[in-house]
Amino acid sequence: MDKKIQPVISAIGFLGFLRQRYVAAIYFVSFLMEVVTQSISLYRNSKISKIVIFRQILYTGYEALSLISLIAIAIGAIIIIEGNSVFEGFTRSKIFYTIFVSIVTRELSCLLTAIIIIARSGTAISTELGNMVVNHEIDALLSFGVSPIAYLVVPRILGVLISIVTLSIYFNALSTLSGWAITNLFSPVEFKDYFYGIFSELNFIDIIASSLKSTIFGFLIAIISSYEGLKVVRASTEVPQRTIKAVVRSLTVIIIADAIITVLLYFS
Amino acid sequence: MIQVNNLTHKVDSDLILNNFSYKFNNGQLTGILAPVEENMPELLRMMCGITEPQQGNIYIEKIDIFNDSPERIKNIRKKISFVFNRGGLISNLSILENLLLPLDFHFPDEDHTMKLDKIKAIFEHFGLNINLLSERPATLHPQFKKLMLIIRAFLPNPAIILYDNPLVDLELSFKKKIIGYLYKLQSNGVTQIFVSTSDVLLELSDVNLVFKSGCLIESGKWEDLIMSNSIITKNIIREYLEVGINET
Repeated sequence: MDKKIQPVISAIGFLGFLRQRYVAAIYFVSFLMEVVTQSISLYRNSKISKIVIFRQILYTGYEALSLISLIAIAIGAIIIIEGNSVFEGFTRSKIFYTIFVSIVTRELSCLLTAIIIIARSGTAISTELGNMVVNHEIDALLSFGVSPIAYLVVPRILGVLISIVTLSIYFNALSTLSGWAITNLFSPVEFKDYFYGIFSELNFIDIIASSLKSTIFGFLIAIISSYEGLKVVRASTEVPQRTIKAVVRSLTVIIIADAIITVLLYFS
Repeated sequence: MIQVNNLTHKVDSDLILNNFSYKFNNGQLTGILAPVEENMPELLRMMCGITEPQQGNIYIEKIDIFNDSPERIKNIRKKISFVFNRGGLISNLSILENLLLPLDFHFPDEDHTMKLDKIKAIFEHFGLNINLLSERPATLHPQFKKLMLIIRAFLPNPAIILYDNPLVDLELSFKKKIIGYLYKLQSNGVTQIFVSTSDVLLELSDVNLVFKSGCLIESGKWEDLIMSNSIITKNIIREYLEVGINET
């Protein structure tokens, strides 16, 4: 008898799980739609939103500069050092420029910048919004008739987008420069020859891929972190739980998005 | 005028309102009494559009505040202010930015200097130090946080003010000033509804509504309610007087 009932119980459990996922997906889609609607009408509240955008750029972009600089310099240097350790004259070969562009410009600049932004700003956005729910700050905005999505989420998305695209360009520039500096330790190359080598390997599609990835990663990080933060209901103990979810989901989604964009742009 | 029709609302398993209908007249100061464990501020949150009731409608000047056009709802929201019990100040903004937020949202074209003058005048009225404006909410004493919540509600000159325990956290001198200000607003025809255990405020009210288990039991002036024959009302008033002594 038990054996007969077991599959039914499992099926009911699975249906419950599907229903839960379905409801969560509906919530997320309606949140996304609200973000799109409020983005269109952002100009109406531009006076109170521009300060939020400015602060987000300051926290996400400006304050991350030192960490991004360190990683960009290190990555540029590591590629040269590792390459030279595998075969001598690596930096004088054409393959060096091909590898550098495909690793740094196409992948690492966007991906590492996104990971740093998840660690710094994704967690900050989720924690801040979660605490705002607990402290009735979201309620206060609602009581004025201000949409929390328009005032808190849309400016954060814009701030993160502007920051991540700028930081990715900065990452590329700095890692390329540090690569040239380290190259000179092994076999000196003229500055113009080095940059000619890099730019001759750089295609229009690489620039498109890098910009597209940064933009999509920025949007995904900001929207997931905001969504998780605003999902806090009333207790402050929910805040770290939601922040962990924001980090894990953002990381998972950007890795998947990276793979999809790469396949679409380079293998189609 | 605020008209609520057949409001029914539950929070988790607690019934907050059970088919409640009532008409709050313009300029009326209304107190709400209920057993302390019943979450009556939820009614105020519904009236200012924070929480949507599970059943029923709320009309302010004949506009359904949840189901009308966004433009009409925005216009009616300009006329409503809400005083939170605790919290409600935006933590990453300075006190000045907090006070300016509803003004900048609802009156973007109004002169900035005029808004600042308005803030300075109200600070002067309550005898507050202007330096508080540059502080962040986290650095303020709970009493000043409460005062900022109240001042923020007064600044847009709303037609309706909803108060969730307006006197909690305040020292006696500020309580007196706030009660005096409420009285002034009452004389100026501002509609005010509050949840509070303060007998001084309840005595000042034009009408007090007594709730039990989400149902309106009776209504009347404070002196009439004290003489009420209803056991429920008597118990609630006794409970209020015990708590209220600490509040006022």
